[in-house]
Parts: sequence; C-alpha cells; structure tokens
Amino acid sequence: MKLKKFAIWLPVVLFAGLVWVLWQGLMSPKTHNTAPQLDKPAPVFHLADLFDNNSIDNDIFIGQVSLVNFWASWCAACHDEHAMLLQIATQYGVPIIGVNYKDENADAKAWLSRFGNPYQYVISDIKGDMGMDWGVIAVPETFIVDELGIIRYKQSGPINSTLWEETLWPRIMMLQKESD
Amino acid sequence: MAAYHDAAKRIRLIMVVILSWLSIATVQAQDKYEFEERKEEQRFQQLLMSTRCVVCQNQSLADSNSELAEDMRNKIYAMLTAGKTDQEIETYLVERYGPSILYEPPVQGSTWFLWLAPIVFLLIGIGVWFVVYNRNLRKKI
Repeated sequence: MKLKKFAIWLPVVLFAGLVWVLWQGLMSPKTHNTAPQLDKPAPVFHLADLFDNNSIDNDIFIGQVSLVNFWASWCAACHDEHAMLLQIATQYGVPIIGVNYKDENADAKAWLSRFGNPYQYVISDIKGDMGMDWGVIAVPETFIVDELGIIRYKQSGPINSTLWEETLWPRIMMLQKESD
Repeated sequence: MAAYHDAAKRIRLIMVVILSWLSIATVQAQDKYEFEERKEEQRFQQLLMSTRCVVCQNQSLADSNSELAEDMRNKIYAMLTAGKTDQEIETYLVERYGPSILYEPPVQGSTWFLWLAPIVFLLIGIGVWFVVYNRNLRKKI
C-alpha cells in the first residue's frame, strides 16, 4: 500500500522539482552576470588611439574605476545611449573608455564631433579583435572595469537612466570605495 | 498517359538538379578557405558545425551569414592553419563566449547533469515499465 502511494506521488514530486529548477533558471540574473570575462583581468590589447594614433594598452585601466563602452557610428542603439554617456562623463565624473568597434576612423571621428565625445580615450578596434576577446556580440556593450584592471560587470544593450541609477552607478560607487 | 509519365519524370529530374546546385552553393561559401590537407578541412567543417552562432543562435557557424559568424570562421581558420588543436580552439571560444557556444558543452562539474540526465530518465522509465509489467503479470496469474 505504501509503495503504491509513493509511486503515485513520485511523478508529481519529480515534476515539481523540474519546475523549480526551470524557474530558477528563468529568474536568475541575465547573461551579463555570467559572462566568462567577469572577475578576470581585462584581455590584453595593443591598439591605436582614434585621434592621435598613439598606442594604447591595458595601463589605462589601472588606478581608476572605468566604463569600457563598445560602440560604432553605424549603430543606432549607440546613438540612443549617447546622451546618457555624456551625462555619466560630465555629471557623474566616471571615466568612459570608448572602443570603436568595426568602424571607419573617419566615420567615428565625424560622429563624435557631431554628437559630442564622452570618452577619456577612444580605442580603434577596426577588425573587431578586441571585441572578440571581450566576448562582444553586438554593440553597444559596456563593461565596468575596476582600478586593478579586472572586469567586474557586463551590460549588454544601451544604457538608460534606470539601468544607470539602479544597476551600474551603485556598483561603480562600491568599487570606488574598495579602492579608497 | 505515357507522355504524362515522361513529363513527371522530367520535372523530378530538373528538381534534383536544382536542389543539388543549392546544396553545392552552401559548400562553395566555404571554398574561400584553402587547406593543404584534406584532414584540416574536415576538422574545420567539424568545428564550424559544432559551434553555435552567438548572433543567430539557431544556426551553427557553418550556416550563419552574420558578420560576427564570418569573423569567428576567419579566426578558427587562422588558428587551425597556425597549428592549434581542436581543444585549443574550443577553449578559445568558450573563454570568450561561455560554454553555451559549443553544441556539446564540455563534460565538467557544472554540466555533468546535462550529460547524465537523459540516461537517468531512461533508466527511471525502464524501471517504472518493469515494475508495472511485473505487477500486471502477477495480476493475470
């Protein structure tokens, strides 16, 4: 008798367990919190500055908590977040390092002169090699890099004020405190 | 009646020819990659078919037309012809895009359940069937 009861309830229990597992998967943080680059040092790169053509490498990350923003002049969503980036740079004083992804230098410069330049540096990633090292799938994608050059967060898609105030700015403030 | 039969045969023949052209077209898209050894080319095709396109996630790198897929094919080709092993290439991809980029996720701590689950469920199913079968036998006796 007991076995029969068990046998009847077993599928229900298994099903409930399955639902629980799938629910967890659905409710867990989105991919930007499970990107393989998280909590690892920023991939090494040696590329040129968009404006003066000088070499830039990972040294620019050391000593400051920064945003690394992959963008392109051909990217409409990048245009959508541009005003927010300008605000972040000027009002909040957070250094933003731009990576111009698979673009033409001339187009990138023209775009920045037309819409404003929020970037501390702009790196020319014409071939997209740096993008591939950072696991960039589309633009815009923005990373938070701490003062030791470690990638701490990945944000896919354009940054709006809600995302900034609720997710990115609190994390940056916390990282800034860590370095004090 | 005979003429009708011939026409049908002819249409079938034309369709076979057209469809063969179409399938060759897919292969030719990758003819831009040249290999010294047939074995290298096979490894290349195998790697492309076992890697997911991160942009068009229903397609493999062999099928996707997206620009990023093109970049990844170029990278895999460069690594392969530079002498990297399949393992090294897969590790390179997983380091950048995560384990979900491979159709066959690596057998490691976090994925052992994924690999074992089908077998486990099959065994449970067989077990249940066995119990029910025996119970039915006893009832008949």
